[in-house]
Amino acid sequence: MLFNSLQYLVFLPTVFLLFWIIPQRLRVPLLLVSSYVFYMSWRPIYGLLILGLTLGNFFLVPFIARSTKHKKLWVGIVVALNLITLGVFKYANFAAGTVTDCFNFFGLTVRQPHLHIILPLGISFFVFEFIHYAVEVYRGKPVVTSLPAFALFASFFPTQIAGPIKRYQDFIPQLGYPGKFKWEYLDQGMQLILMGLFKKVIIADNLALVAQAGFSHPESFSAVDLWLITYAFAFQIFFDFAGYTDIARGSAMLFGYKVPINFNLPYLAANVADFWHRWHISLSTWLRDYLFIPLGGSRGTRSQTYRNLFITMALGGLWHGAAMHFLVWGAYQGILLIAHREYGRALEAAGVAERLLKSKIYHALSVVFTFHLVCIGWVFFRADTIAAANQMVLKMLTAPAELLHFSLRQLAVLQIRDPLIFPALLLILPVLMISQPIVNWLNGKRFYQSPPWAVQVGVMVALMCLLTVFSPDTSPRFIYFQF
Amino acid sequence: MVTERQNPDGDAGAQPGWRLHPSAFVVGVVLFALVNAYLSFFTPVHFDRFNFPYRGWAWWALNDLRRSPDVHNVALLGSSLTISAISSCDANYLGRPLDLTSYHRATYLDHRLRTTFGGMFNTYDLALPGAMPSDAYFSLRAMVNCAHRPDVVIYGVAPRDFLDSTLSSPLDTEAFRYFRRLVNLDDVSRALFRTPMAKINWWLERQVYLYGNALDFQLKFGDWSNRVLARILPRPASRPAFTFWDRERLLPGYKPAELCPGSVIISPADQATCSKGFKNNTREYQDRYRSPDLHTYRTQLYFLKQLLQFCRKERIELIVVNMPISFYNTTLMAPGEYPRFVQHVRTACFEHGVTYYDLAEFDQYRWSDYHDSVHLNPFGGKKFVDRLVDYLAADRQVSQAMALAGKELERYVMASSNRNGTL
Repeated sequence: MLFNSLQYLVFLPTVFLLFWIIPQRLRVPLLLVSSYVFYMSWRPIYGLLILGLTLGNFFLVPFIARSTKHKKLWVGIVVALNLITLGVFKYANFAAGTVTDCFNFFGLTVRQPHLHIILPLGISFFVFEFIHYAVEVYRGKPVVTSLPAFALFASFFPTQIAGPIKRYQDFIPQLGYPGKFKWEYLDQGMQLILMGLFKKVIIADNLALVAQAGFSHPESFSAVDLWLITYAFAFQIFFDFAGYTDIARGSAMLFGYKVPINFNLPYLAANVADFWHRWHISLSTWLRDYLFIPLGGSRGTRSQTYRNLFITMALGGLWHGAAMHFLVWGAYQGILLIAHREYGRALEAAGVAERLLKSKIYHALSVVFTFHLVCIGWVFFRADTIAAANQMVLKMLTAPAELLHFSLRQLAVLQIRDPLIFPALLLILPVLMISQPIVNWLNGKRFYQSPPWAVQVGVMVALMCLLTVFSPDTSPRFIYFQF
Repeated sequence: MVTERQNPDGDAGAQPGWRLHPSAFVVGVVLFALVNAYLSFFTPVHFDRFNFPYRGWAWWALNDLRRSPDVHNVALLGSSLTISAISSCDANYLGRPLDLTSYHRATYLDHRLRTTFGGMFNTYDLALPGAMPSDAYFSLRAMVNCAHRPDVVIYGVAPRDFLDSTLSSPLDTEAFRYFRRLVNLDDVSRALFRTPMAKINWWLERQVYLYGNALDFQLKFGDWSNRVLARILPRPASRPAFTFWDRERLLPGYKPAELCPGSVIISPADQATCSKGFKNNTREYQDRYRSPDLHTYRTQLYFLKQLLQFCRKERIELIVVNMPISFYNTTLMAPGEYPRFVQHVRTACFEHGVTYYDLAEFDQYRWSDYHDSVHLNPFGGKKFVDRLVDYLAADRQVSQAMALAGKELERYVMASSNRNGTL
């Protein structure tokens, strides 16, 4: 069931009404049943997978807490079971393909076995939640004693398919709060849902057409066109995922629950480390807490720290999908983070004036530079193969030469009039780019944080009208569903 | 419903000076309903229902019909089987390639009807690839709505139109999406909207003006954006134009079955060329016949009956023809499926007093008459038209109806010519 579907438009209000009508003790079971209905509406059989993992973790993790001698062994078993499940469903074909390629490279002809495994939706997200739970219990946090609460933690339908990746210490206590309906839940929840749908349906889905054409046929576009297409993809993936997160947070808010935010104006990051503090926050903090720190974090030597950073980011890339280009994207992020640290050290060693580093011009240039580095990364993320990404990046690097004698007439996107989004890019992209610092500025204003009631109503009516008119019959799935 | 505005971190009413406000969302929903009510009562925006962003077969067929000043006394309905037989026969008869986005005639059939029944015949070919009886029903109703009521309709049916397992619902076809804009669906909505979601969607389309007319608003917005962009960012004249074919290459999934002039050309062909171009479509039809949905079958039978009733109500002479397909193709169906289909169609026609001809005469056609196992080539097409006209001529009642239709059109054309002073 997609958030941007008619099914969800029926499902969510039904669950919402039932939730607030029935006695409080029945609310968690109601949400649990609803979450399984939500999940099984896609492929009923995979309901067993999430149920099996829930039961496995619920009954095994207390052994970690109880054991005094074999804590490490138990946590190893639980984490391994979760990772094996993820590996079988997500990486089996990729691993078979890689092994076959290796054999073929050494001249041994081996046919790749094709395993007919369909990736269960959301597996990467709920497996990470289970691992977080096991590791936190290992670190001394309390175990969850209520099976329905634990099952709901993993299967809660707003966050089930594409996060945000929750922390059980934050989520499970909320289930026990005495719940009394407040109109704020409805208002704030619906605001988030409408805004999320706007981001997904109106912005991301339209930009998707540009990315689809550009990334499948880079040879048809000039270097400047390819930069525009890459910017379009950068905003597509941001609005797609941020839209999903808004809908997830809004849906949870309708029941009075809070789930973590995932984005904080990532394209205003002044460096790559800052970018990862603002992009997919629930994943980057998970990677920090359960991969980077266990690997040793920044405690060892410089080279050990860099190795840990690189491994964390490369595996983080592979988490997004079982393909080499995701691995390369992750490795690229790792290299950027290492380069950023080295750059910081070099500046420090050269004694560059603090005033210069804190100047607004330096900050603005850093933001622009970081955005472009991130965009180059997106090429590897979006391209179907590494070869295609290389071809595209190499062409994009010739843009400065092209810009020397540039005229608008050279742009292929101006030539295309159906879909209209191609020429409209020249108007939309600047608006989207400028909107980021404007929202940043507005974030500090009381007017924006809690707008007047009439403005709230006006925005809601406008969004309802826009979404009713511009929701296509068939909206593509959210990008992060595939992960 | 009344709540107090509150500090996000505080409790309602915790701070003095906060005013009472109804829920912003509830008020928003009420205002949204009022906007819709206003739009449905006063209809301040006018739409062209024939406008459609997706120019598929149905759009081209109806667009040409709408613009045609001619009167058509015969209409052809059916699927690609009908188009293939009639158009490839015409390409050979006329000796020139035909662009099927703009060619919707049946010249050889008109010639045969004129020589057999006298008078004048002007046939409009409304057959659409992949069309099922539901599409045939809606296309005829759209034709009548366009003030082009034919006197005679010849409808070619084939088992695929009822049994296609690759299409699950009448709502899935490209033709339906266009015709639903032109035809009132109220009387057949129960058969069309089968799942609870489809029913809810249909209900919303009728109750929420903005939702029901979303496509029209999108088209208006598209036109406006196009004009604005043409002014701000005109298309560079120096570069070669971006064509339909360029778009097909860049975005194959965007409007996948859209056509443009020149995209479907049927050329004259000799026997050797036809034999060389023969295509084995066994796999395709195995997939189509693999798991026919009984509900879909019944739904399409229901729409066939609707078509029969509609023709009777409109006093249109309807002739249902079982189209020739190869015997081999019928063996791809489950045993007994084909005779059952023929029996059901024949019975439906009999019950409604409609003429039915079984032209799937396996002994009459050879492999050399086919493009593949179901589509007739120019030679098979000519044979089909000849057999059809022979059947029409042999049936006294139909023969009289045809003769009357021919005379009516002739009289009309002469009267029009007299009025215009061209005679």
